[in-house]
Amino acid sequence: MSLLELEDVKKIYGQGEIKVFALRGVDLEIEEGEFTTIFGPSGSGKTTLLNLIGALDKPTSGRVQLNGSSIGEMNKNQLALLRRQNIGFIFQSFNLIPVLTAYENVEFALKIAEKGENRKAKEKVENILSRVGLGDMLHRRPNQLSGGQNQRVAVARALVKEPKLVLADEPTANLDSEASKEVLEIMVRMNKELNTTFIFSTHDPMVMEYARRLLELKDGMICREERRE
Amino acid sequence: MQFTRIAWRNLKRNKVRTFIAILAITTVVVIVVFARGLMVGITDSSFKMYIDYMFGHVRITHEEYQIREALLSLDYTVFGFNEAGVEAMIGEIEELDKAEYVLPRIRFGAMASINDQLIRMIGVGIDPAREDQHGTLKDDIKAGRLPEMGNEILLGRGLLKKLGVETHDRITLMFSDTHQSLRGRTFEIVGVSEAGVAALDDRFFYLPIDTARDMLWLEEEATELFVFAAQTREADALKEEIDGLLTERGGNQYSTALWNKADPFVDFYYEVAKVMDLVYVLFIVMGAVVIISTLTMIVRERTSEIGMMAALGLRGRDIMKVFVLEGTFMGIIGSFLGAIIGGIITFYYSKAGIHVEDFAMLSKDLELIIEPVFYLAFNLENLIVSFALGVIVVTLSCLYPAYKAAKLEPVDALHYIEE
Ligand SMILES: Nc1ncnc2c1ncn2[C@@H]1O[C@H](COP(=O)(O)OP(=O)(O)O)[C@@H](O)[C@H]1O
Ligand SMILES: [Mg+2]
Repeated sequence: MSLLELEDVKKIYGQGEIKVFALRGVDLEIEEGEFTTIFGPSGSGKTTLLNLIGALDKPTSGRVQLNGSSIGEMNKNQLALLRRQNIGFIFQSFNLIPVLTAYENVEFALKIAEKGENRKAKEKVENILSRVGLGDMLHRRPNQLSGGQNQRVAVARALVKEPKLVLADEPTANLDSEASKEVLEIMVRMNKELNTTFIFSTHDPMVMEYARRLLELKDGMICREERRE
Repeated sequence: MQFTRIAWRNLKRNKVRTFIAILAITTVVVIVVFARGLMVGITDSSFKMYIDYMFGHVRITHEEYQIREALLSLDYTVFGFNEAGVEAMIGEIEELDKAEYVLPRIRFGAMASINDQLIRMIGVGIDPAREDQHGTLKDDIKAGRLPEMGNEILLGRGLLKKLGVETHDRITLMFSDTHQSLRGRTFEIVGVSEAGVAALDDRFFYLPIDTARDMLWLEEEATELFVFAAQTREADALKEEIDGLLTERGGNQYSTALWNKADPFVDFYYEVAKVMDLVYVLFIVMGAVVIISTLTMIVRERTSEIGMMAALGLRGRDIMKVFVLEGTFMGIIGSFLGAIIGGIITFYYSKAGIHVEDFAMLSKDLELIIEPVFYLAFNLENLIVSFALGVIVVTLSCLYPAYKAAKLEPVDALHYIEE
């Protein structure tokens, strides 16, 4: 069984007169440890697809099955629990908790995911932050870090709970090319070192060179698929 | 723990807004403390004199006496159950749960003629032993002592002046007894009292109840029984107990009256004081509105943050917690400051009193036995109740905005763009 299975997934926004067909029938299987890039122009449905994969939203029709359970049949709380255990998110606009330091942001995600006290929490948090190169900036708040550094905190936050799947929706869109490269390289490295499954989206052809499995999305359909080594 | 830290730090994100919200809470709590202090103060201090001198918390009289009270009739007295004497009845009343003590009184009209001028006054027969133990009369004695036996009397300071006499002087007073015959008796002045209210000090004198009975041809009876509870607010419960006892013991000819219901002016004044309750409830509602709108603003501002927290796996109730905690912190800080400041204000006015000149004039004209000064009641209970009220109301006010935050769809929240 694959980690993730999508079967004829459709997503329609709006009811009545004005309907937007954001996804028009997507079939997809992703195995554990894969590093997948979803490429497509703005409006092609990348965010919509990642929201469904990330159990943030439900499909209008079709089936999204994550780790054996179908998200269409789950309620809001069950989806929340599924996300907290299994999925790490990295967003386009860095989206850290502004009143918490880098360390605390990462620690927060870990504590949410792991019920009860974990004596190794401190070690884990410090370890993951130094892996993304922020070992000496643990106690800075998001507004005291650059965009690239913020996004690396977000990567660490997504990874700290050792999720099955990390989803990154255009993680480099707000970064300059230097910072983009850094963040992408960290993601590639973490995928190798920790065998974490990554799916990230982009509309930037420059970023495509990092892709190992590439899915091209157009008008809500996968129009091309390619594997590289 | 995690949520507490976030909520606490969130307070500092928009310092001006937090400050204003806290200021609003503080202001409302100060008003609540003040209003409650004034309410209790009015009943416990302003009405105290009326209660102590004129009524007790509950007054027992003969049914007919109430109607003829202005005439100071001696024909309708409290004569105990089955006319067995008032002392036994007092004993039974004092057995009641809520009853602290009973003061029997005999009030009657008297006159003196000084330099061809007729001075009217009111004599009050008192039980020296009981008055020595309870009540305020003994505390208001400025010279001498309570009358204890025979022809000893205690005069109000104003009356003393009007009569042109001094302590240890003798004076002859006229009065009519139960048989309507005018008589005279000479008394020795053993004390001077001063309550601070002309209506009392210019008109009243006190003598032992036995002497009054003797000169008026009364037996072991009294015109009025003042019954006191431990606290003013227990008066209603006390009245109920007494009514029960009267029914049970066949005292149907007697009636009981609550201190704040007998005199229409006291009743009115008391109702006005109760409006304070309404006023402070209005302020609480206003404070709640401020908190609700502040929190709604906060939730809107942080919508995408709410989406992010949902993505991290926080459930609706976790998200609610973050916002309710932030509000509760404001509630605690604001209410604490409010209780402190309110405490200082009520403490000051519990000592200094609030002097209302117009009221002093009015109460003089009406010959009211009410002090023209309002003393606020200062007590810890008021501060604690007001603090708790502040925290609870603020927390409850946060529930709705926080609930709306929790109900947001994660996807919509995440991609929400501030307008
Ligand atoms: N909440 C929504 N309501 C209505 N239309 C939406 C909503 N979200 C996205 N869409 C539409 O769905 C299509 C796909 O959007 P999206 O998934 O955001 O694409 P991408 O991330 O590739 O830019 C677009 O046409 C977009 O306008
Ligand atoms: Mg998008």
